[in-house]
Amino acid sequence: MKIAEDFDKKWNIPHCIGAIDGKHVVMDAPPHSGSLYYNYKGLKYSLCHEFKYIISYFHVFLNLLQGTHSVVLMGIADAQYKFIYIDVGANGRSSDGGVFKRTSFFKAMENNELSLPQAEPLQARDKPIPYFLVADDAFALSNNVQKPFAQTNLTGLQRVFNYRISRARRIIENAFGILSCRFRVFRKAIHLIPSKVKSIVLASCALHNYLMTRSNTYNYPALVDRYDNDGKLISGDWRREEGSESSLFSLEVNRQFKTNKGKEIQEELMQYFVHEGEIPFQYASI
Amino acid sequence: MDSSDEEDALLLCIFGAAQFVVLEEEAENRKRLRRNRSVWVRNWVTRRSEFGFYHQLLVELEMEEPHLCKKFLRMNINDFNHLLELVTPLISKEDTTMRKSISAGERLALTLRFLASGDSFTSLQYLFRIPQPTISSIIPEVCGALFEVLKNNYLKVNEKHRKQISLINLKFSLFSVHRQRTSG
Repeated sequence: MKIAEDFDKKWNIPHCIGAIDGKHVVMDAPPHSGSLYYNYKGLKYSLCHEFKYIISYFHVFLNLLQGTHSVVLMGIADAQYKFIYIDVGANGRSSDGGVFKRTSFFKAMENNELSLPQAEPLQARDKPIPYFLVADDAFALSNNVQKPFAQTNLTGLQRVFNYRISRARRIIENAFGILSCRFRVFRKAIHLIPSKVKSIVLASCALHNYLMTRSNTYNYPALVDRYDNDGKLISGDWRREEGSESSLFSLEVNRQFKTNKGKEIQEELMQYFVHEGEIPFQYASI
Repeated sequence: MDSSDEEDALLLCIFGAAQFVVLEEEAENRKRLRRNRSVWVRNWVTRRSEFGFYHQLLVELEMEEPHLCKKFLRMNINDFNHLLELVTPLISKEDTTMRKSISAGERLALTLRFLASGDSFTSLQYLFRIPQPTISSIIPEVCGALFEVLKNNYLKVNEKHRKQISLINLKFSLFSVHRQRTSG
């Protein structure tokens, strides 16, 4: 698949079909919606989980804690910062993983209906590796979703793995960055009903791809995060602008049950990154 | 004891019914209160084709300062025209003998400006000479149309593999119905 080749070439990660992430699109409270679209940005999830029922009746007071109303935009980007899949409309209360599980993409992936190429061994290795997405902490690890380790005390091997995965994951983050930098509607709360917000988000994502393809000034190299020759990170211009994070902000991390699903693949990738798939500067930046 | 309970229940019923009637009446009143149009089109709106942004300033910018025009629409004029060609069949309205419709180009320019700037509808109405209620119906419509025309060519996995991916329609049926979480 072409996307996977691109990812390997540009971001040195094999068998990757896209980077996935979710963002809240902030809007003003829709009429008569209660706390349906409310997200608990200001609160720790665990706390929120315990007192959810009680709290939901007092969501007005939570405005003091800087929560907002939002819909969730979930996107998968290819190596060129273009969206290959988007899903909007989940209400702001849901978490990243939860939203992803309800998308058509996830269902298709679970049922192997995506017509992804068969799992193949990586270059000069034996174990077959399926094609996968890179995600952040909020998603659940599985055969088709790989994410960085979350713990703090990691081995060198794990840190290399984290570095390499995060490198690829940066794409989707940047894609959202470009989007909100170019389309300023995302900079402040949108004062419309959710269905209109959805069509606005869809249209701007489509325009994003349209302009990425046709215009050479829509995205310029310095706008996005990039690496110098030593693999050092230079952050993109979109981060520098004031309030760049104000409206599109990340979803909170959900508590998850640990499973062994996808662990073997993680292990294999980890080995690949330090042997055949080594890139010279990966040790400098961990 | 039983009888008093029943009485209470009866009272509650009556009270509830009475309140319902009152509410109904209020709703009726509100409907009746809606004002009739005093003018067909406001004068400042009718002067759109002379002084509105799309017919005046944009034309000037296009001739004199193409880069400003590009900044305004977030794309250059060629891309804009190409896009306009694509969406025109979906968003243009018929002219009537009573009044001219707002042209597709104007609708598109308005929507692009909204997306690019994030200005409120109210502030856009002065620039384009299109009243805010009209804007609020134009923008979602054009957004929907934009997505419809762009999704096939610009939001896809891979041209070569398009046929292989039988699911492509399913994948782009983006408005997957999200059940509202009942538990909250």
